[in-house]
Amino acid sequence: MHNSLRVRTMAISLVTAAVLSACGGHDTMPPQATVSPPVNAMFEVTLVNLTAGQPLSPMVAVAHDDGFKLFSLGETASVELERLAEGGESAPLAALANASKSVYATAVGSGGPLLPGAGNKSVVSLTVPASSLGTLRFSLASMLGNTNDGFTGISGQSLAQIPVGAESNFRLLSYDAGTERNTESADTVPGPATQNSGGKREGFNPARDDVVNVVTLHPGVVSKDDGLPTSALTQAHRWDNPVAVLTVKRIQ
Amino acid sequence: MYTTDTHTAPVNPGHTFLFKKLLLACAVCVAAPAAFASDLTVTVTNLTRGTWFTPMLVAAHPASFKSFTDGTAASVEIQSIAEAGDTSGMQAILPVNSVKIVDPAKGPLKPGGSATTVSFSGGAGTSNSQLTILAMMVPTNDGFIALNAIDIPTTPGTYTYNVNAYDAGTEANDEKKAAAGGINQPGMIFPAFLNDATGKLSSDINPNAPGFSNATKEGFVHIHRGIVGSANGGPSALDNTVYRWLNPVARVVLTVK
Repeated sequence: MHNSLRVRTMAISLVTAAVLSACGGHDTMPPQATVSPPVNAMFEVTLVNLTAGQPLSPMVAVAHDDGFKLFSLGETASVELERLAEGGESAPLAALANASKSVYATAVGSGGPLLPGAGNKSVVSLTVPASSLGTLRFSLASMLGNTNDGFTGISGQSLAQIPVGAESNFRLLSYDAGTERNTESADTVPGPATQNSGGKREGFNPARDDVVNVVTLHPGVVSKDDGLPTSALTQAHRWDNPVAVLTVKRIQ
Repeated sequence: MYTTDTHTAPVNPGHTFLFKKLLLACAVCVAAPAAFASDLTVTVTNLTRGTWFTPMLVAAHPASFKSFTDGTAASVEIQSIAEAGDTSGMQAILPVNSVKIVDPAKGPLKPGGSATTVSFSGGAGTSNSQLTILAMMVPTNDGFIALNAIDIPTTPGTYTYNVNAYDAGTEANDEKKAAAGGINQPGMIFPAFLNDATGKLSSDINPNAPGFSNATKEGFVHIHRGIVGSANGGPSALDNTVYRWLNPVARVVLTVK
């Protein structure tokens, strides 16, 4: 329904805290591949990791209308979401979003995983036609790296009511993609927790062997320190909700 | 949101509570017309990965009624829900003219599942200003979900609440199989809906596990500390990679027309 107005951009920008303060938060967008409508709205998306020991894979951030769903609670995950949740792969999910007529813009975090602490944050920006604002929604997904198929994100959040210069903050929950059993083994957890373990550290695997093949909230990890001797994880990889803070600021 | 002293709060779909959005929402409230004799519908989603909800009770009732108070001893009606999934006692003590929706899921609500009520009356223009939703969590000893007498919004709209798991405090969390059903009976019930596709009790449950012998009942309603579970051969009957949860355990979407 927005064909004449839609701009699909793949805006990839990671802005460090230093750069942010230097430009006062008004970063410029990379050139767009298509002709711009007269007026665009631009959102700056910032993610901060609240866990102690879970790196967050590069986020996939999507601006879209009601016709697109990145994930839905109680529904089966797409293979592209499975790839993100099991292996931290952002490209397939970003491509899935970009292929949708309901998507205005997609951005992928750069600079590698978002590690906990040290003032770390990951920033991307999304540019959409201002005419889309009435129905504009936002979704995001990022893997919890030291899990089987855990991720954090948000799905279908309305951005319609954020004025220029204002921001909304969201505390994000942890989700389980429902695509891989939570064995916590060195063969199945690809994150840094299994480095030097000798395990296979497998990311994506097409098998769906979880107890339920739908997206639910994540039960957390057990770890070998809390009753699962076969776990490759320790107490340091445990978490509670919320696991990340998301800030969406309208900068134009 | 669940780090505050309220156990439920309106949230945006999929997300936790947001103060700026609340301010925006209130700005809208002022401009919106008042509603009369609201039509309500409620959708409950089970957010857990391995825990079922027994047939739910959804009730719109006067502010004079509350099914339990945090930090105080549970009534036998709450105990019956939390230990046995039986809402009949609670139905009976709801004030006359309360609106009761019993078992909107037409059976237990599976992990990841959703159930929506029929449209019912409550909120603005009625004496039933509060909404309560109750169901046992299975398998647990005395865990239950509760949306506890929240104010039904008077402005038409869609409101989302994240719901935490409560412990009724009426039974020790021993995490072993109960010898029999009903209340005042140690151990967890394992109804047939926990069976696998072949009809046998799920292989993630060990009915012969000895349980935690050092567990005692707490004596007051509180936020559930979660399932501990065990690896193979451990004291708990429940697999610790399947039956744990983190809050929130349920999401309630209330539509006010």
